[in-house]
Amino acid sequence: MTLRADTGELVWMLRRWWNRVSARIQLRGCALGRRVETSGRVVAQGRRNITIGERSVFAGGLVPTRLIAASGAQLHVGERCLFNYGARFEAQQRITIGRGCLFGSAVVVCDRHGSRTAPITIEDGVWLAHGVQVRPGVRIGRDVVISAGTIVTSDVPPATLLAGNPPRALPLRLVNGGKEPACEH
Amino acid sequence: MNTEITDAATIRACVRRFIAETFFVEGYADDASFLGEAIVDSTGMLELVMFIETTFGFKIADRELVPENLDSVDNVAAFVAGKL
Repeated sequence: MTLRADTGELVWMLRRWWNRVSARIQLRGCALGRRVETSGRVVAQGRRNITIGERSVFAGGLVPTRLIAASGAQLHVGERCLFNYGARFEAQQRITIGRGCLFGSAVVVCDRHGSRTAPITIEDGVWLAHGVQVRPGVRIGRDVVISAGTIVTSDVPPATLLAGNPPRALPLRLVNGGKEPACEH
Repeated sequence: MNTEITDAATIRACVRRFIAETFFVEGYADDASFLGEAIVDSTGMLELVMFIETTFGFKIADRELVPENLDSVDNVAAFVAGKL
């Protein structure tokens, strides 16, 4: 029993170690913080303009996650962010992501849409569920949760749940039973 | 606006019927917290907001989206009655 537990722990540690090595290989040329992990495929373009904070993790899945920064653009990812598979972050100007953000599969954050280009800011502790699209010029406040499939075209105030079509912002205090969000980032 | 629905008792019955038909929950107190008692979940709260707006014919402002207005049958009835 103990041997089995020890073996499981060893496998887990080896997997984490390999994920860190994989991140160093796949994201070489990017400014990487300590202990960044990739457990699936990540495609990066414009690597010199991409910064990824420590302990951020890119999960694997059916489709690779894409990080794209055009020449002269900036794509900054804060610490301890978690990315599910198939997400796409494309900076033609600037995309800034804070600490402790969660991104569901197939999320698209692109600061160019049609002829409009404007920087996107995602503050700390934001959670974007599957298939959310963030359009140019948007600022998403701290501790925001955005439900699956929502297209975000305007700023979102902090500590709100954005859901529905067209999207409606509900304060997290309302959907949290009156409690303020107590997140540590 | 639906002119037939103006008193708190009718509003209560209306909200209870919506919750029973949408979330299949019955047998809770009028002052029971929707979220605290797991009667309605977070996306359900959005459905409740949409229901109130369409049924009673007014738009709820963002500053009014607080538990004091929406987190129980009593709160909803008082809030809606104050708006009609």
